[in-house]
Amino acid sequence: MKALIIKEFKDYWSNSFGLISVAVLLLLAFLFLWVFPDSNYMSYGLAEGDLYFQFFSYLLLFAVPAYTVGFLANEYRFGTEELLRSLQIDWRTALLAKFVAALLVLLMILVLSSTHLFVVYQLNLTSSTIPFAQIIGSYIGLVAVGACYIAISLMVTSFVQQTTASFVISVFVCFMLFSGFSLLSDLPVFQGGLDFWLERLSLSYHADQIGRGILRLSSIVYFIALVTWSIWLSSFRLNTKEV
Amino acid sequence: MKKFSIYKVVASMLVLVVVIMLSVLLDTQWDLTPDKRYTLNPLAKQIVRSTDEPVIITVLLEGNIPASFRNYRSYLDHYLSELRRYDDDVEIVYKDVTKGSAEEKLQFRKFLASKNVVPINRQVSSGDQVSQELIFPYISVHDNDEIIFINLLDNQQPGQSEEEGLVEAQLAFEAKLLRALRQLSKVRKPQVHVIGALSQLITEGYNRDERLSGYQFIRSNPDLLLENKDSVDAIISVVKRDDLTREELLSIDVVSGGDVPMLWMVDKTQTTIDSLRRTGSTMAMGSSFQFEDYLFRSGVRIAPELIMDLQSSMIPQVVNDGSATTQTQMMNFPFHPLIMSNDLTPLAARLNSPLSSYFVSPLELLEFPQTVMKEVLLTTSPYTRSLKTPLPIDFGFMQLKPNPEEYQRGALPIGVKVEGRVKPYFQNRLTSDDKALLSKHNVPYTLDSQYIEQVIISDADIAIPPRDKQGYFPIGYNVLEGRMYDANAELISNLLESMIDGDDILAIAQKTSSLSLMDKQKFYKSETFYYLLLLALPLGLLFVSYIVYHWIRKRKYAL
Repeated sequence: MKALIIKEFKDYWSNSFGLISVAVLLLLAFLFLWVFPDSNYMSYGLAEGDLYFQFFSYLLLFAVPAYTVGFLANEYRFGTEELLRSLQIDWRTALLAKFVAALLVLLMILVLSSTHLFVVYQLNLTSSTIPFAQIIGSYIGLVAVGACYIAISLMVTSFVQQTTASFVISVFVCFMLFSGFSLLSDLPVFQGGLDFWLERLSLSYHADQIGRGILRLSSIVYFIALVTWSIWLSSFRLNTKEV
Repeated sequence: MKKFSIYKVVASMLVLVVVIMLSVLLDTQWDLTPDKRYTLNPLAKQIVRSTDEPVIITVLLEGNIPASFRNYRSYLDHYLSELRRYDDDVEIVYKDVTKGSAEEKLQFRKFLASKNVVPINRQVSSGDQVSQELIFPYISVHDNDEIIFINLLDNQQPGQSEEEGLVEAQLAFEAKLLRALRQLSKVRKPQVHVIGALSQLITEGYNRDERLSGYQFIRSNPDLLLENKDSVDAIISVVKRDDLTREELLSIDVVSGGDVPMLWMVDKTQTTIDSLRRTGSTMAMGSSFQFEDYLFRSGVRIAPELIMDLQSSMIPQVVNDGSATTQTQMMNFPFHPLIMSNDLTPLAARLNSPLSSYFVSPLELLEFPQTVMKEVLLTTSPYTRSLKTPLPIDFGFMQLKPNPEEYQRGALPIGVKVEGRVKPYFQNRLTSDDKALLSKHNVPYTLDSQYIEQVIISDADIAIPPRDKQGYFPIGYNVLEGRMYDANAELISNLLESMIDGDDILAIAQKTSSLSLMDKQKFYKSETFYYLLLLALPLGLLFVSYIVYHWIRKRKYAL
């Protein structure tokens, strides 16, 4: 398992795609949080981490599928899928290794982007204390949101072999899960009834809660259940795939 | 080989949804913010539970709102959804006032205007476009009988930045909402009887003031007060020139001695800025009121002195700079101190600005009786002096720079709360007329000790709605400065709330925030440094790691 994770992680960095995608991501974060009017910290006016965490949960919606689909799609592209089938590794282990490797890439992005939080708390005008518990909680939440995107992207790729189609569908599914339920809950027909449940099924609700520093039992269960289900479905699909 | 089954997939999806729904039902939250700002207060739960009818909370802060409002709006969303999660009888509705047909918008705007709901104008940028938008920073709380509008931004003080104002407003929101919910849960508004020569002016002014809309002020007299003694929730007496009559004092003694709180606002010294401005000089005379004895038994005395305070409001003065022309200049007038609230007590909670006052006397707190607890609520600034009355006053002293050495008396008490047991004031003093008045209303005079809860403020003008030829101004409007002192009305509201409903909501209003403002100046001053830190550092680290990794790899696999 460990060897598989290292192999997947190294594969990601073996070409310039990994470097460029992370660099573009960091550039976008900088532009949105500090340069573009309306979305930047100066117009927000508060030296709080919540803007950073909420923005990243949106940014990862596109970024995570962009690099994650490659982890599985490349197996089809280079024909190594057949090789994997012939080895003594079951698909669940292989998928878990890909999941953990993609999670490591995500952690790397978050570590590199932590300078934003550092600057935000440096520019704190009214308070000298840094809310470490809130920051750690929000980071755990952001990683959990990213983990959901990774698991869904792997699941979609297990069904769709073509890389571009897989990326587009992954972003669509992630978006629907992120905002779809939440938008549905705003429809007048659901007001005062199902809207409560639809909102709780939405990833954006749980991401928003954690972004503010609120850790919920339902959010923890939501993330774990969603990731487990997605990995299970991917492995179920690959194990039953006819070659 | 296993076969792919769509039924298995659907079943697993159902299990997933059920697990998520179960976790929502058993949900619990850990609020990691330092000030626990997202946790519902136990009092909020209690008040929501006490509302019998379904409550609809309508958020009008909708549509294209400025970026600086987002944190507040997001806090509102969370707080209200928590409230709804706690009690299904609470419904949250979002209403964008700018949407709908022209006719609908017009009708709704008219309705809002009739409720004194006025929009603010803010610049909103969307992409490259910058536009002016009307924003309604209000929520309404209503049940079947009553609708209450809450202004979400009315805590902003002059000189405060918008961000500071929004942080203050966010802090004050919970208390405002709970107050409105409590008001809805009441069968009737608390009845506050106003007694004394100024009762008509006070009653009309207070009933007109939206900030005191939670109370019904009734112009009272001894008969009315005694007749309704069981339904009176509080008594107010504002005394400026005319003493209370013996009947008024007797009725106050009987009713307030029966555990009804009382608020006194008294001018000990008879002088006004109008007489001073008219004639250029005046004589400030001390008055001797009959009811001072009544206050004295609870260990409080209004000193026959006038306070001069270096921290004061301003009056317009005509100055001559030596040329032929004269001009009007605003100058500090030390006889109009700016009063500070004691932040340690919930009674004075969130009075962010000082109170405007006019010709104030200091209060003396005596060591007796031991059975009465005294708590100072309002004081002057530490830079004061006090002068004995009668005192001749003219504007001559304003031409000289004040000497701080003369202002060394320290912070003088202006408002004090007394609570405890005292002897009945009319014990052994009841005349046949007194007895006749009491027997007319079938009220016995108790000879046991009375439990009193009273607040005494040594300035009547602090609470009187000012007026000029054009009509009345709201409480706290300083006509001479042309400035509104919101804290004056907030003080009355806080005092009544504390005395009638207790300090629980005020204690919530007193909480402090851990929300931090962005130091924009610091950022713009070292913009290049921060850009390097935000962009160059992470990108540099990324590229260096990439190059090092590939260099090592190349060496490792080199032939």
